[in-house]
Amino acid sequence: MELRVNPTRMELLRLKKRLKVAVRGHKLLKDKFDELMKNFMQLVNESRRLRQEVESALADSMQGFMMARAVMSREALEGAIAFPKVKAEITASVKNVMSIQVPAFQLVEPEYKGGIYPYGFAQTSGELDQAIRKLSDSLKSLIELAEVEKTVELLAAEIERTRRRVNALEYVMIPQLQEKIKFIVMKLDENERGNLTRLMKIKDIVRSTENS
Amino acid sequence: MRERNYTYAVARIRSLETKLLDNAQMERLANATTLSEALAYLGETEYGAVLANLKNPHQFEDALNQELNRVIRLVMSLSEDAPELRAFIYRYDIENIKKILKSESSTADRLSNLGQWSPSWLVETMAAERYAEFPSELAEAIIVARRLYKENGDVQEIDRILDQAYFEIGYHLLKNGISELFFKWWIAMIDLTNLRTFVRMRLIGLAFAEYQRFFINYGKLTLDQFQELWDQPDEKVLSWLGTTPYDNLASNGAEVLSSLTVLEREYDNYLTRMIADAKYISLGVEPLAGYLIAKEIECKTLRIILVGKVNNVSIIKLKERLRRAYA
Repeated sequence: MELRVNPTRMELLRLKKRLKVAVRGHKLLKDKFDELMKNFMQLVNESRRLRQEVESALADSMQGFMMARAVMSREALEGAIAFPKVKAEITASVKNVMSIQVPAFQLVEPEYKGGIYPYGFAQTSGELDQAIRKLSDSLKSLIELAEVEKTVELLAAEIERTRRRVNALEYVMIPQLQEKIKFIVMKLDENERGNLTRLMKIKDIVRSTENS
Repeated sequence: MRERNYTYAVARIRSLETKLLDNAQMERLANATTLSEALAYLGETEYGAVLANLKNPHQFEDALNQELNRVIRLVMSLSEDAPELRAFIYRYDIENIKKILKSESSTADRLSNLGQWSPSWLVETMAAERYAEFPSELAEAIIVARRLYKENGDVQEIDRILDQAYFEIGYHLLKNGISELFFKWWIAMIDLTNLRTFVRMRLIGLAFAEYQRFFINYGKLTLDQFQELWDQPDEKVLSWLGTTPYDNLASNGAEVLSSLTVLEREYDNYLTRMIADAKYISLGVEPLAGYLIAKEIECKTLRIILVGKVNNVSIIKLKERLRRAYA
C-alpha cells in the first residue's frame, strides 16, 4: 500500500504523538467497553427476571379477565372496567449511566381509598377481582421493566459504538500510524546512510586529488 | 293481570321448556374439543336458528344475545308486560345507565339491547336529563350517582348506588306483586349477593366499613350478622351459613368461602333451584319468569363453555364453572 506521508522528522514527531494518543484512547475505550459490557450483562439479567415476572403476572391477569369474560356478558364487563377508579402517575427523568443518558421512571402510587376496583360488587364476577389485583400488582414491575429495557437498548447502542471505535483504533488507526512511523524511520535512516556514503565518497575523491 | 289470563302463556312456556338444554347436553358441549365442534352440536338445538346467521364462529356472543333478546321479548309479550317481570330485566337497563353515567359520550351501539328501554331512548333520555320517565327509585339513584361522580370522580360510586337502586326497585315491585315465589327469590338473591360481596371483600382484604357501603338492604341476613362474622375464621362463617336458609351452599365445604368460582356457581345453582319451583305452578306468571331465568343461566353457561373453547381452557376448569340446568 502506498503511504502518503512526508518522510520528515517533523512528521515523525507528529505521528508519534498521534500514536501515543491513539494507544491511550484505545486503552480507555477498551476499559469503557469492558465496564459497559459488565453493566449490560447485569441489566440483561435483571431485564430477563423482570420480563418473566411481568409476563407471568400478566398471563395470570389475562386468564382472570378471560374467565370473567366467560361469566359476564361483553357489555357488562366493558362497563365494569372501561373507566378506572384510581389514576397512577409516572414521572420520567433522565439519569447518567457511564455517560449515557438513560430514562428513569418513577411510579407515583395513587391513594387506594376503598380499593382499586372500579366496579360495584353486586353485578360483577369475583373472577374480575383477581385479574384486576394481579394487573395492579404488575404495574410497578412493568414500569421497572420499561426502564430497564430502554436502558439495555441504549447501552447496547453505546456498546456497539464503542466496539466500533475500539476496533477502528486497534485494527486500522494504530497499525497505520505504526506503518507510517516505520516508513519515515526507514526513509530517514536511508537518507542518513545516503549522506554517509556521499561523504565517504567525497572524502575519497578529495584524498585522491591531494595525493595526485 | 289475574292468574287465569296466563293459561296460554304457561302452555306455550311448557312447550318451550322442553327445548332447554339439560345437564347432560351441557356436559357434552363442555367435552367438545374445539369451538367448531361445540357450535356444531349447539346448532342441533334451539340455538340453530341464531347460529345459522353467524359469519364468524367467534361471534357466538351475538348469537347468545339474539337468543336471549328473543326470549325476553317473548316472555314480556306473553305476560302482557307484567310489572313483576320487569324487575328481572331492569338489570340490563341499569347496566346501560351505568355506562352512560360513566361516559357521557356513550353511544347506543355500545349498549345492551336486552333491557326494558331501547339503548337509543336511554341515551336520549339521559342526555335530556328526563329522569322522571324512570321509576322513582331509579331516577333518584341516577341523580345521586351523577352528583357524587361529579364531586369525586369515583366510578365505583355509580355502580354502588345503581346496584342498590336495582335491588330496591325489584323489592318494591315484587313485595306487593302477585307472586310470593318471586318475592322469596328476590330476597334470596339479595342475601346471596350480600354473602358473595362479603366473601369477595374478605378475600380482597377490605375493611368492614367498605362492606357496609356495599351492603344491600331488604335481605333476611342482616348487616349485624355479617359484622360479627367479619373477622371470624372460615369455619365459623361456614357453620353460621349452615344455620341460614342457604345451608345448601355450606354443603360444599370451606371451598365456598375460599373459591369465588365455587361460590358464584352455587349462587346461580341456588337461585335456579329456587325458581325451578315455578315448574309446579300450573297457572300464573311464575313459569314465565322461571323460563326467563333458566334461559339467562343457560346463556351464561354456554358463554362459559364457548369462551373456554376459544381460549383452550381445560375441560376440568370448564366443568367447575358449569351451572345447574333448569331443565
